[in-house]
Amino acid sequence: MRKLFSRQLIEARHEMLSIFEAIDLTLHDAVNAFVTDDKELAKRAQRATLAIDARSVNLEAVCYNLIATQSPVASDFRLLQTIIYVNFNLQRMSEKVRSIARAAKHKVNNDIELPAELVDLIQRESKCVYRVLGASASTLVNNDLAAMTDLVQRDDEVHEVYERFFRAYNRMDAEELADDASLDDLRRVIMVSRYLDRIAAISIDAAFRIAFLLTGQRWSAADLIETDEDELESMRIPSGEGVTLDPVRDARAVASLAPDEVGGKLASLIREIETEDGDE
Amino acid sequence: MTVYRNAPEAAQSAITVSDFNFWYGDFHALTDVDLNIAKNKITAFIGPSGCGKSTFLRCMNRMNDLIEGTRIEGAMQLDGSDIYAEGVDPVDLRRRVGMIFQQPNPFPKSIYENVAFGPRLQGVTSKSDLDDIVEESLKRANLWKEVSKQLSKDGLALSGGQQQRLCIARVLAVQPDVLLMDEPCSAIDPTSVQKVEDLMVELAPEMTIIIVTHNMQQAARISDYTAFFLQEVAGEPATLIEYGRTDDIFTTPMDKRTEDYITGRFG
Repeated sequence: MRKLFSRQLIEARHEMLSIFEAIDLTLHDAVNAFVTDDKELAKRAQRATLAIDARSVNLEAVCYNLIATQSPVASDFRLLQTIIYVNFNLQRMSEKVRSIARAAKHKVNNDIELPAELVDLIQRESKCVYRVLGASASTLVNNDLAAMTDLVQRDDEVHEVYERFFRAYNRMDAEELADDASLDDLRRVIMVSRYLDRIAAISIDAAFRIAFLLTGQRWSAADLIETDEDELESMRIPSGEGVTLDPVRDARAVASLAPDEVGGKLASLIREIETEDGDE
Repeated sequence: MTVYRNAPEAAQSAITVSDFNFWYGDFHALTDVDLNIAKNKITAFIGPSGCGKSTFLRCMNRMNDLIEGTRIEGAMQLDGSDIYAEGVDPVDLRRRVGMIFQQPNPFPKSIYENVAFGPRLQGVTSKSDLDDIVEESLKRANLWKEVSKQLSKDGLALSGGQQQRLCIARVLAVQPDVLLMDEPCSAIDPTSVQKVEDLMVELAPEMTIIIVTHNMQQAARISDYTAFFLQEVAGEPATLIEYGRTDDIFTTPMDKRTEDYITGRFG
């Protein structure tokens, strides 16, 4: 029975990571659709978020079903709590990605042209967000407590671009951007920068839950960044099979992420997988 | 080495145990157990079969004295008095430290006589006093409503769950300070299990309860503290691995062996 339960836990963890991967890839599509005025790509991205939502709902049901039927304790229970929490945040991220796809469609439908400076800032912000998502995925795959301080720094980078975007927007004369009738349309479009900023923040919030999984303690971001790596590592408590699975197997669930966006540890795992698959 | 986290202090404890070792003849069954049992709380002993938890439980009212060749080393105190001191009357000790077993074991007597048996031995002879004790004990054991009209019925004619609560009423009739329960719910149906668990929670504010159980959910549901015992190598003595508050043990165990056991991945 426990073998079955262990497998179910591992599958739930993999599904969580796989949904994470799907959101990252769909975000790329949504942002590309926005930048290139590709309405078809925007539609595909929007549909993809609906499929992601359905997977999230199913994963949530699986987790509650396991709690009801398997009476999990210790690291099994912490893992399910973590998956439910991360999954809830994935749904929030998916909703923001969908809003970006909608904004892309709206931009095309209403023939809105943004100044090149703002488009450039959106692209720069999105690249920072991709790196946050990659680092979040790496943290979850590698059970990497130390990586969390890095995540906070990456979030600061996103926020900095987000603030630059709005400073630039405020600096520009609204009439230079659009006439009165289309100002509301324009506002909807520029919310993309806000959505990107929120996606990064939510992703980090989700990834931080790994600290609860591994230490049993509920850390705030402020506490985490003030705690040095050795101290964090010393607070790890024993974990079961679902938590300490071989990271290479976990990495398979996010293997489609761009190696240059996920950073060090996860990038080498993904390369390892590609080499293994190539050998086969 | 035992892991302790938020374990009871000696000052809050009904039973204190230090450097405790136990032998069955040449076999060293338990080694170096140190723990305090919190007063008027429920403490669960968990661990795989053969890990010494029942042996340890039975040491607390000297039930193992009845087995030839057993011996102990170390100290075990009840409210500050050595349980194994010379001159301690085991029968008197067992009145203060009552015990409930896995299989309900009512006497082949009426319900009334089962409960009145202990008080009679203690010298209570007045019919009205005995009536009061029987009624009070059966009420405390949550059995009165079911048997008040049939006190002369044979105790053995009750259902398994009712028999177990009758045994609890029999123990309560002599007003023990500590109640030892050795897998009290393993032979009764789920409804009766719920009644016995409710009863334990009701009794705990006025009585120290220690339960040995193989049911992890039961330990998690009803106990305040949990002690995990383990015999790591066959033939070697078992010992206490981890001890602390139940919610800590079941959410964030500190020892990998505890984690493996409570999540069902032991061995």
